Amino acid sequence: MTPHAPQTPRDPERRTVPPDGRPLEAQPRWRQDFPIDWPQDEYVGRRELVKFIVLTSVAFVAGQGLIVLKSLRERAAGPRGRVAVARVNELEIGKAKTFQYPVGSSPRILVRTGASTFVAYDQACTHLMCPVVPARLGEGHSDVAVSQRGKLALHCPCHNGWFDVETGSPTAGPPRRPLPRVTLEVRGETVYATGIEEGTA
Amino acid sequence: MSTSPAPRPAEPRAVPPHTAAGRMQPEHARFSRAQRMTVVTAILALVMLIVILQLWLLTATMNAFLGGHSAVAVPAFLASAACLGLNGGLLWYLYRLDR
Repeated sequence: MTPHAPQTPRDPERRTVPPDGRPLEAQPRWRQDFPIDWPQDEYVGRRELVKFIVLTSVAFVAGQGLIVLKSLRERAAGPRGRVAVARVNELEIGKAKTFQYPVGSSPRILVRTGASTFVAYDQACTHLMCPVVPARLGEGHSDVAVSQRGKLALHCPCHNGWFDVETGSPTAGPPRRPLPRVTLEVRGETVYATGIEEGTA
Repeated sequence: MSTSPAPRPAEPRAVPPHTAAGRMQPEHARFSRAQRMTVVTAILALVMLIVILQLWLLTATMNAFLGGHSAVAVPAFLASAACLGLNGGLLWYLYRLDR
């Protein structure tokens, strides 16, 4: 009798016998993870794929957790306060200037749309973050309705995206989300930024 | 004179897995490899479906958050955690199959 004789009856499902003759359950872990039998190898492969997909599931939950943390942090930061961003007579109608609100943020764009009306938005296009600039509709584009030509709008020159200057909503091109709007207050001769409109930032 | 053969010892009867003795059997002894393969394939399909649902949840939440609607973040997180719980349960069952 050889010293490596099988100690248990051979499992008919196991087509190969390990060199030491012991059952698969008694084999080292590496031999269980890399079986010789094709059907067993297929089983182990699918089981490992399930484990990997569950790891992906953990990563998705971690991602959701990060979004929750970020939203809680933004909520905890509270109101941003009031910051003077321009003098009323500093801009002609249809002209714009950039500012930071709050200080250190990405650039915002302030546009004078009338004698005493101003609007301000985040300057980064909601498509691929290129800066938007004020422009007149129809400039160089023959496909704009005659009634709309000359109307002030915000233009993203990178991919020809257009936004309504009054609402910040996308009107043409690839952008699908509106520009985050900065709320303003005009007091005397000064324009103040007072906050970021809920649901747009 | 003929002698009657000695009575053969009774063959041990197979114990069905649902009996009291059968409950002690490990899962892998209750199922053949072909059956376990079917189970693991079914679990794989379920886990993939749940993960695709989680992917959709994450992209929808991210889109809403970037649009300034952060109210959906917590319910989406809870739903995703519930999906992970389901996936964890299925994986635990798969581990039990091999024990």
